[in-house]
Amino acid sequence: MIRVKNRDIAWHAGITITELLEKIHDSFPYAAALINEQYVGRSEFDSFRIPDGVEIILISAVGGG
Amino acid sequence: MAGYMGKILHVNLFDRTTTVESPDEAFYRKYMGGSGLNLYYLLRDMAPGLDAFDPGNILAISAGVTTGLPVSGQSRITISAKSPLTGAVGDSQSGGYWPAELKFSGFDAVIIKGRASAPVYLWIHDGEAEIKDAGHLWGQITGDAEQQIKEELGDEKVKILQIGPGGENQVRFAAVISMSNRANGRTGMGAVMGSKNLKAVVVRGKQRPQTADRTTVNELAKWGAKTYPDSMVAGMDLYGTASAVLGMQAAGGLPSYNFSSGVFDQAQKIDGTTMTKTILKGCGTGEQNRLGIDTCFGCVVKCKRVVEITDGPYPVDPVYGGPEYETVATFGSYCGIDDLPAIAKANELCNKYGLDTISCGATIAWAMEAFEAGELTLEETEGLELRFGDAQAMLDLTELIAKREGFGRILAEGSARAAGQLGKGERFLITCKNQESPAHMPQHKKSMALIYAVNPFGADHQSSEHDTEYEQEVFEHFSERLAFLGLADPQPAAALNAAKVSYARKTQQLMSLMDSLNLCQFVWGSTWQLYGPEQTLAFVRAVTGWEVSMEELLQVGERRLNMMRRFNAREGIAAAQDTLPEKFFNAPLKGGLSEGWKVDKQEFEAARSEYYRQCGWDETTGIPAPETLKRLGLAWSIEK
Ligand code: SF4
Repeated sequence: MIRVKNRDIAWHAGITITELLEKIHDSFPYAAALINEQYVGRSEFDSFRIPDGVEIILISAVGGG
Repeated sequence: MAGYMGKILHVNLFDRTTTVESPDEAFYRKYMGGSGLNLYYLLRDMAPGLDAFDPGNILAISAGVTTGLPVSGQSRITISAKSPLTGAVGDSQSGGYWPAELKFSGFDAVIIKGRASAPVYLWIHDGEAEIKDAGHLWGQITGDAEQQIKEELGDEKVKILQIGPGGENQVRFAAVISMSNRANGRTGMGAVMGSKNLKAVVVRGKQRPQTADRTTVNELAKWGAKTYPDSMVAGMDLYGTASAVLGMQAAGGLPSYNFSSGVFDQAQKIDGTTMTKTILKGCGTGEQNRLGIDTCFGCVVKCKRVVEITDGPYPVDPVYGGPEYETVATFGSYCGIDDLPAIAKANELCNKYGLDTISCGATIAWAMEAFEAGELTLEETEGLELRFGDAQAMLDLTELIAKREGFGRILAEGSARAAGQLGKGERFLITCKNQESPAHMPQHKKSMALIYAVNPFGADHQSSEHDTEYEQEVFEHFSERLAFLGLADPQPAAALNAAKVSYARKTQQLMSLMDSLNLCQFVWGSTWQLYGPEQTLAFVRAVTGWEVSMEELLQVGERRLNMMRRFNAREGIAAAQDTLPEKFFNAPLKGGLSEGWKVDKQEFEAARSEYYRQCGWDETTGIPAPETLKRLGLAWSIEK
């Protein structure tokens, strides 16, 4: 299982961040992701293989605050 | 009149009298509430040219038409007065529970004039107001004063808006604090309150605002709660606004080392995700999602933090909340500090003493850069070594500033005045109209260059939508909302052309409306927020029963901006002050993705002229043209 945006998504070997975003129908251009505290930049979204059982935090560069 | 309580409380501290005004519906529809309403009284009743600490300065505190209703993001107030930091109009918003309780106490706004001969506080309850002695509270930190007021009024549920020692000492960037952890931080409104010998405004009541169409209001509330988990603001509850640190870092736009760089190597150590795992209350037992988050009246987003640290060098009392993105950046990356507990401690000190975290952190970062460059000496800092990365020096200075002791006496004036007094460090300033820049970089988001400069109350990041939201790839996600505002011409973040000026100006009008409706800009806005502009229109219509159009609402925002510009013009503040610190033009950023980025002066000046033209202001002076004021129903202000 992968935990993302308060949801559990089925994991399979080799799944990338790009595939995960497709799976959850999220086409937003995130700047990066944190995978169990490891920082993964957008340029690695196609290649980074997500391990099983992790939590993913998607990072966007929009917003004030 | 649905939405409003229909009463404005006027307080004269000089003779300790109060009166109640009941304006008509046309008045409310024109000025709406919040900042727009405040500005009406500032412009109508204040003599030009007064010192901000003169008793004649007016301190106006207003809720909005939707404040107190059970929908997310509505419990906010605006405080306005002439600013002791900028010398221009001052304006600041905050949330919490105090704003809703003001409405429940029977009033939409409190307009305060004069100065009490000795410390007092104002006690407003169920349509009544009393001025009570506060000599015994003067000098107390916010948490202690809060407790004592509750005890002496015999009611744990009173809501208290107050100043700490920072405001009493008239630190020019002193904040007004409620709940001991919500701050009307910007522009020094706490110092104005201190100059009036007014320690607190306490509210309590059982009255409730009515709505014209309760069904639609309820539907909007339900839609927000249902949509939140899949919205762009999802996760604000878990990680807070400080989770923006890594986003800014990824874009090369995280202000670091006093805006010398847009990247900070240790960004992850200070990010909101790290905060959640390491210092939020309850994180030791896995209960941080229950104990470590807080909210404002009726809000499902729950972005507020509660930090608790019981051991180590920087214990933090959860009463004082936890740091926002701006606070993490100003005390963190601005100062080159990667120690999150120390940053949380600085946040605690600011909430305890009543200081604006943005100006305080940025002023310290300025002093650090000036010291490292050899411009400030140990003699001037009274023996303090001020080096980037030194957390203890940062905390020591925060205390000294609040108490106006040692080198803190000079820094309590703000960085621009400190540079002027010392005759040093001007080239390191990051101020616009003397107000320190918040943590969004004009070198990265070019319309911030324009808005920081032209904003009537100095550099501000919540006065327009940011450039990143208008970039093609992001725009596609928000195109419907932006089209509702007539914006359909996306531009790169680095562009500062006429189309970008239109985007900045229109979204500035929307944000200006937000500050008059007093809606939270994390919940209501034009792009990534939970609700879009179409829903804002539906909300106002449902609450008031008025057949308003979006154009009419945007005009409320435009009217407020024009009143502010008119106020400033009377103070001699116009185009010459609508500029940026030289550092933004002359010192290219160092390191990472944003290496070499700066603001092009010619491009900036052209954008400013275009902005004045689009606003209907004199293209040379930036002062609203008489015909513009007349179009907005502000002809009366021309003679003021
Ligand atoms: S989003 Fe945060 S600041 Fe805004 S109203 Fe909700 S809890 Fe308060």
